[in-house]
Amino acid sequence: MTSTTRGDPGLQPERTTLARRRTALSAVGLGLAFIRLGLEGRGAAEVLAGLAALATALALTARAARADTPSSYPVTATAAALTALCSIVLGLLLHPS
Amino acid sequence: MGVRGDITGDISGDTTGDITGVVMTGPVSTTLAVGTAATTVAEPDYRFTLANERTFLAWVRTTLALVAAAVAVAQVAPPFSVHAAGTVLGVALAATALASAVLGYLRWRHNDRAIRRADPLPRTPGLALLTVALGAVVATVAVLLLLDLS
Repeated sequence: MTSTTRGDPGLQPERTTLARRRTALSAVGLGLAFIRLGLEGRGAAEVLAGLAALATALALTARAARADTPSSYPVTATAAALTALCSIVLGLLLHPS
Repeated sequence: MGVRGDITGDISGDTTGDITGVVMTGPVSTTLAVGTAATTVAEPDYRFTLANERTFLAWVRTTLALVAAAVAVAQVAPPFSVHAAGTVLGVALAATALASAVLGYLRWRHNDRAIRRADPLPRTPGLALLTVALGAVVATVAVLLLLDLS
């Protein structure tokens, strides 16, 4: 157990960077789908939701740029963009245009 | 002393495991181990903060999936036979997404504080809430599909 733990630390930042990237990738995919829905005539709220999803991806990749100096700001920015996205989607489902 | 050192290393886990393994050789070891532990409390092992962040990222992905499901069921998928059922389900999923975004962030923050203070990790109701919400959604979808069949 100790030997595996000893070999592990170097891989932890890499694992975290990969987790960030695939999360950002999901956000980009969702954002593009929203923007397409909006541009196909469903309304501006969908485009806004798409932009919020892309902002989430941006906050996640801004974190990845300085992976070795942990700071709480990118995490907070990600959470804020994500909360905005959820609120916009909740609003557009409650008040369909 | 050597055996005792090994046991301590196993119990205390990742933070001190590496250090105790090296240090536990002579009578000086106790002092050194204590000193290292104090340093660890001041600036936590980055493996713990990284693992905490990965947990937060998993909550983010859960939220994104819930948002996608909300829009899919409310606006993209063909409607259920029950009136406005898709919209109600979508709103429920979007509300769950909002809750999981907020809870995921709060969980990250509380865990981060606990790690820096070397406190035990706090318990959160987030997982139970998510499970209940998803269970309710799945049960509703099952009922709606059965109604569509009949």
